[in-house]
Order: sequence, then structure tokens, then C-alpha cells
Amino acid sequence: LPELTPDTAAPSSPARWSPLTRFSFRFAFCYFMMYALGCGNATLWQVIPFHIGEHLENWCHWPFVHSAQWLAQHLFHVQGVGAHIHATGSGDTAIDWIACGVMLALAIVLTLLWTALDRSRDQHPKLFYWMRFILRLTLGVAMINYGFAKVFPLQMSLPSLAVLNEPLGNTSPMTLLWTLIGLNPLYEMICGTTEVVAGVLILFRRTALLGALFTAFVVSNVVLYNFFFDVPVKLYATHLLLMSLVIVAPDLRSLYRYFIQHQPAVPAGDVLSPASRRSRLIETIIITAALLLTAGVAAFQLGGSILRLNANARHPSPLAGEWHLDTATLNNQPKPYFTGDGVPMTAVFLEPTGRSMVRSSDDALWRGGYRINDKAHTLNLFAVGHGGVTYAIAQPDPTHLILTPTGGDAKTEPTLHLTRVPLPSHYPLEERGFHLINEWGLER
Amino acid sequence: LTCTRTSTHNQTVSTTSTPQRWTPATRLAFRITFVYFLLYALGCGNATVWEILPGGMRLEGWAARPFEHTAQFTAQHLLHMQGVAAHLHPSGFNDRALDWIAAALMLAAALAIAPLWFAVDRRRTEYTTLWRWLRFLLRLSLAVGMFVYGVMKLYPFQIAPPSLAVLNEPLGSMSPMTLLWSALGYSPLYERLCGCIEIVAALLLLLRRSALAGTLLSIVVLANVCLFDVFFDVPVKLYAANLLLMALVVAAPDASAMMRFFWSHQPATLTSAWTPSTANIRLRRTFVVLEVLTLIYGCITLPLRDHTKFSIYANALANPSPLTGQWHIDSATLNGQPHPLFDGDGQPITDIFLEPNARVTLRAADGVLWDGTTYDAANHMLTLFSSTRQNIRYTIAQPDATHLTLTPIADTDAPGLHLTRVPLPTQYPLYQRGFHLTNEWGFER
Repeated sequence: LPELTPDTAAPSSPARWSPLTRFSFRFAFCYFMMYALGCGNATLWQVIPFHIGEHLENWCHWPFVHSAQWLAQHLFHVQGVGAHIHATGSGDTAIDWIACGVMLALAIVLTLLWTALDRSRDQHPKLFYWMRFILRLTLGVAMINYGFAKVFPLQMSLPSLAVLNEPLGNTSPMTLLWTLIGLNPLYEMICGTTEVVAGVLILFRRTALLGALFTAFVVSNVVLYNFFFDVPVKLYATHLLLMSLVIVAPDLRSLYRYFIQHQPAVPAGDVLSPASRRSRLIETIIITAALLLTAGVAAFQLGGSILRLNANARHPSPLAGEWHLDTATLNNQPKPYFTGDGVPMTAVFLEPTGRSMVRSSDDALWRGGYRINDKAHTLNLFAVGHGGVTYAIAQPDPTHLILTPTGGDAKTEPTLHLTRVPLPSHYPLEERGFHLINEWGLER
Repeated sequence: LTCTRTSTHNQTVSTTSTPQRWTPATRLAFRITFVYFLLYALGCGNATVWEILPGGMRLEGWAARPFEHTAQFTAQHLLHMQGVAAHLHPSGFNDRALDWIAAALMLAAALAIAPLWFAVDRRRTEYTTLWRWLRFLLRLSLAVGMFVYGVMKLYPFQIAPPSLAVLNEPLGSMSPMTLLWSALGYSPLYERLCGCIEIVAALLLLLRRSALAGTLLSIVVLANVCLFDVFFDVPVKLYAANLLLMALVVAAPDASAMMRFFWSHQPATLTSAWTPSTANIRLRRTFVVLEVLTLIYGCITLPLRDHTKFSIYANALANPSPLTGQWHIDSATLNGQPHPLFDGDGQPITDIFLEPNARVTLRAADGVLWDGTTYDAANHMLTLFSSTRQNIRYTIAQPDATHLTLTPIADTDAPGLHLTRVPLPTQYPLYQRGFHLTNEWGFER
């Protein structure tokens, strides 16, 4: 990696880059710029308000994801749901991996072309600055967005009724991890705060190195969780870790001098700061604007969601609980309610918070949410892999529920006949609370 | 580097600069910190620096005894505490009422000694030398703590895979600690990696060049441990919090240098003060010997000791015993009379789980699980935890496939047990998921 550390010498005369350094820089530049701007998940485009950013994010993502879809179908002959772009919470779909491969291949080609064509220049300090700047913004925005999703404890919700009543051996590793972190909203909030702090630190020039190191620590733990508990954000989390290491890279030598050799040292990344006062001021203004927009939008949207969930939890709907699906019919013919994998639904859990879980006949759970419109007497049920459907509610007696699809859905969606499954009203897991003194460890 | 005097030996060594005068508040804070951590690091009884010496476990026990017994006396006679909390009892954990009282006594001693120290030692304006002694002690203590817990995870057996009792229990009936333990124990490789990180932190701590990096890594790791302990009710809060505080004390002298480096971006140098400064060559050799002893303890003694423990589990997993499973206690009798087996809280035990890894889990009538130590299927031996006496050793007899009879070996007032097998699933979806690089949907169930 670039050797940009003139120790204590004047920062204006950076050392000449070796051919290997030049090549690695060009590759890192091509690959990470493409990934940072085109990966489509919590990118820095999101800071641009009024949905403009969303459109830009989608446009930049489009070429990669569509070429990946084409390759999936025609080159790799992927079959089934994996062969098509589909709405999912997973960032590790076959198409995501192929899109990443496309970026990698493109980056290698561009690097070779660049090296062949640009023989006059032996270093790229300006481009290095821009790359670092964009990666700092990318990481800052990502850490703040993921951090806020935990500060307002939404990313991991309170344990679902479906999970609380299931033997541990029947859960999936990810459900186990999610339940663990979601169990204590305060714990989740502290984890989120750590991520937000890391994100804010990495944004600003002065604290970028500290923020990058902190981000690397935090994201390492996320990467380990994602790999060992089968959380499908492996690709994205790994990239966040790599990007933070790219930001630390120019300072590795001074960190070694300082921490291991115990010699006087300064962070060398300063060399990469804009030279003039004015440019530095502009940088700071852009960063502050990005920070305020990201944090402001996240706080507004997520804060609204958590207020709604908390209000629901305080006054749970009388429909909250487990409902077993007795029959699903369309025009008096059996027509299953299909989940994302095409397996029929057997039960739906309406959580007190307004979230929902659909259980399919293979015992998999599908996240979602529901909203009840008291005036229209309708229930909108959304499930990942199925989408949202608005049903008219009929309740012949307290233990039975008939959901009849309304509007355009009436022609395609089945009517659901459900029976309530009695559930416990208390769970020891949620009642243990905090104990400073323990004569024995409580396991049960 | 910058020290002038060693208070304990009154020798003047070469000076490069005179230490600054400390403010009275700083001096007071230092004295409290010094006395408290000296007492805690040597007297807390859990993974202390004594362990690096030959016969260290016994020394550790002796050093903790005065505090434990003063705490017990305080609990019984001053606080008039009742029940199990008022007596020293083997718990496997360190947040018993008596542990908190012992720590409070140490703090009280520190608060009492600090002002007295003022009276005796008025003229001294700084404690640079003593501070280096404290830093040396705490650095080694921290390294021992990280080694002990790191090696246990490396094998990995600090956190066992989810018990058969837990796999078949609805999640909502579990305790938060069991949930945490099951999640961390579910993935042995994850646990091993966590152990590696703790061991790396300990190794970095021991080398003077990387000691600060090791301290910072320890702080990050221990902060995570403390959060787990606090939020999931793991009763190692006191020890983990003290270890974290120790790490902060060890890092503190370099805080301003790190501010200069990371915040001001000014040329900065670390203090590099990792051993007490002295011209006495024998003393300096002693420091090296202590560091090497810690290294030997962490890299040889602990792995060997824990290997013996781990090989029991590994052998059991490699040769699964036909006894593995859940066994319900039909009757517990002593001399023909009903005589339940009680847990630490006085509840009768209803079920015994013989785990695939040769561990034993007991379930009490109130649903609480207890670690029942181990069983040896080959020799038909079983050891059960008892809160009131030494662990009870049983021989196992199997009249038929679904019944067991346990007879105590030496203990004449322990009950004999008659057990019936409770059928359990042979496979669990949790274990069958495995690793997936590609996921079209997040898999929840």
C-alpha cells in the first residue's frame, strides 16, 4: 500500500510511489469507488434529501445488479428465486455476489488499462485524497445509519412470540443471535451509540484515524457475527471492514513507529488533507452537512417508527397473538398463502408491537408487520417474500378470525380462516431483570 | 525513562527530567487507586497474578481468605444477613453478596488509608515510582486474567454448546444468561476466535513494546464482556468491571500522549514506563522473570491444564455414550425413605441431563438448571453437584434401556436415585443450518 509517510519531514514532499504501490492504489481506487457508490446499501448518496439520493443510489446500483442478473441467468444458469432480483432483507443473494464479481473484474480491467495508458505519473496524491474522502463519507454514513437503527432499537426487535414459544433447538442461528441482541433494548442502544460515535469520528479529518480504527474494531465483531450466525450481510459488512482498513493504511507506518517503536510520530494521513485553508473549510462544511442530513433523516424516520412500535406495545391490539391458519381459499377453492420460498403459511404471529411473523409449513419464519385501520375495519399484513395485502376483518367469535382480501388483491389473494392459539402471558426470559448480586448463576 | 527516585529502595538513578509536582487531589486519587487495586489484584481470589508462581492456586486462596472471612463476619454480625448469602459457598461465579462486601471492604480500606498516608508522608509531591510499581502489577494481573479466560475459550469450554435441556426448552422459558451462553456456545469456532483475541491481548500486554496496544485491545474486549455481563445477568460483573478498570488505570499515563497523537496530530511519544525504574540489576532481572513466568503460565501451564479438561469433553463427543439424554428422577430414597436431591436454592432436582460432552445438567422443580459437573460413561461413574456438601459420587447401573439406578459411592447420607429416560429428538435444526455464503432470504425460524 502507498508509502505516504515522510515521518517528520515536510508533508509537501511525499515519497515517490513504487510501481507496486501505484498498481495497488489504482486497483483499490477503481474497486472501492465502484463498490462505495454502486453497492446500493446505505451508500453516501442517501445524504441527498428529497428522494433524489435514493434515485441516485438506485441508478448507480442498476448497471451492476442488472448485468449480474443477466450473468446469473445466462452464464451461471442459476435457477429459481436466486436468478431474479427480488425484494429481500438479504445482502448476500446470488445476484449480489455476482455483482460484486462484476465490480472486481471491471476494477482489474480498468487498473490494467490505467497502468498501460498513464505512464507519466508516478503518484496520485490528489486521487488518494478523493478516495479517502469518499470512503470516509461512505463509512460515516453507513455507521451512522446502522447505528441509528440500533439507537432507536429497531434493527433487532424484542423477541417474537413465535420464537419465545419455540424450543431453542428449533431456531435458526440468526434468529438466536437476533433474539439475543433484541432482548435488551438498552444493550442494543449502547451498541448503536458505539457505531454512531465511530461514524462521526471517521467523518472528520482530525479524528478520521481514530474513527477508522474504532470502526474496524466494531465492524470486525459484526463480520464475525455475520459469518458464524449466518446473517446475510456478510458481503457488505466485509466491505465496510476493508474500507476502514484502506483508511488506516497510510497511517500504518506512523502507528507502528508510535505504538511499537516508541518513537515520536504523527499521523501521516494529514499529508492527504487539502493544502489551502479554503479547501479544508469546504471539506468540513460538506462533512458537517452530510452528518446533519444523515443523522437528521435517520432520527426523524427511525424515531417515528420506534414511537409507533412503543405506542402499539403499550396498547396492544386485541388481535395480537398467534393465529393458526385453518384454511386459505380463493373462490371456494384451496389456495395457499405462499411465503418467499413458495412454501405455504401455517400460522401468523401478530406481535404486540405491530410487527408480524409468518410461519411456513417448513417452520421457517418470515418477518413483516401489520397495521389495523379501526375505521375501515381492515388489516394490512406485510411479509418479506410475499408483500403487503389489505384484508377486511371479520371475527365471528374471539378465537376465530376471517381475513378477506380487499381491492385488487381480492382476485389473487386467498381468504384466510384463522384460529387463535393460546399463548402464555408472561415469559421468564423477559422477567429476569438486572441483578447486581447473584448467589448462583441463574440458568434455566 | 523519566523517573528520578525509587521510593522502596531510595536509590537515585539517572535523570532525564524532573517529574512534575502532582496536585494534592491527584495525589489523593493516586493513593486511593493504589491501595484499592493492590488489594483487589492480590486478594480477589479469581484469576490473580499469584497463579504464575509455583503453588500459586494455594497462594491465591490464602490471599483472598482474610477478605472473604472479614466479609462473612460483616455479613453475619453487622448486616445480619440470612440464608445462603451469609455464608461462603462454592458458586462458580463471583457476584455473591460476600464478594461485593469484600470489594466494598477493600474500597473502604483504600479510603481510610489514603488520608493516613498524607499524615505519614507529607513531603512527597509525586508518586512516579510507586505508580510504575502499580502499573507493573496491574499489567501482569490483566495479562493473567486475559490468559485464563482466553485459553478456556480457545479450547473451547468456558461456554459449552447448548445443553440438551435448553435445546428442548421454549426460548421464553430460558434465563437471559442461558440465552447468551447458548448463542455463544452454539458456534465453537466463534468462541475459539474470541479466545484467540483475548490471548493476543495478553501477549501484547506482556511485551513491553506492545503493552499499550495490548491494554487498548483489552479495554475494547473487556468493555464488550462487561456489557454482556450487565445486560444478560452473568454473575462475573464485579471481576469483569475491575479488570476493565485495571486496564484503564494501566492506559491512563499515556492518555495525554495519545491525545497528542490522535487529536492534536502533534509529534508524540509514549512513556514506555512498563516496569518500575531501578538501577538494581537483580530487581530488573526479577521483573523479566515475572514477565516470563506469566508468559509460561499463559502459554504452557494453562493450555496443558485446560487440555486435560477439554480432552474429557472431546473424547465424549468422539465416542458418544448410549447414556446421553434426559433422565427423569422417579424416586430419590435414603434407607427406604423419600429423600430428594436439593439444588443450591433448596428446590428438589427433577431431571438429570447427561450431555453429549460428558457434562451433567440438573433441572430443579422450578425449572432452574444447575451444572451437575461430569459423568464417566466408560467407568459407570457420575458426579453430582451439591450445595451443602462435597460433590456426590455415584455408580451408574442400567437395569434396562430406559432405566438407570444411581447409588452413592461413599456418601452415606446422599439419596439413591431411580431414573427413567425421557425421549428427545436426535437432531436439531439449529445445528443443521451450517454455513451459507449465499442467502436469498435471511433464514429465521
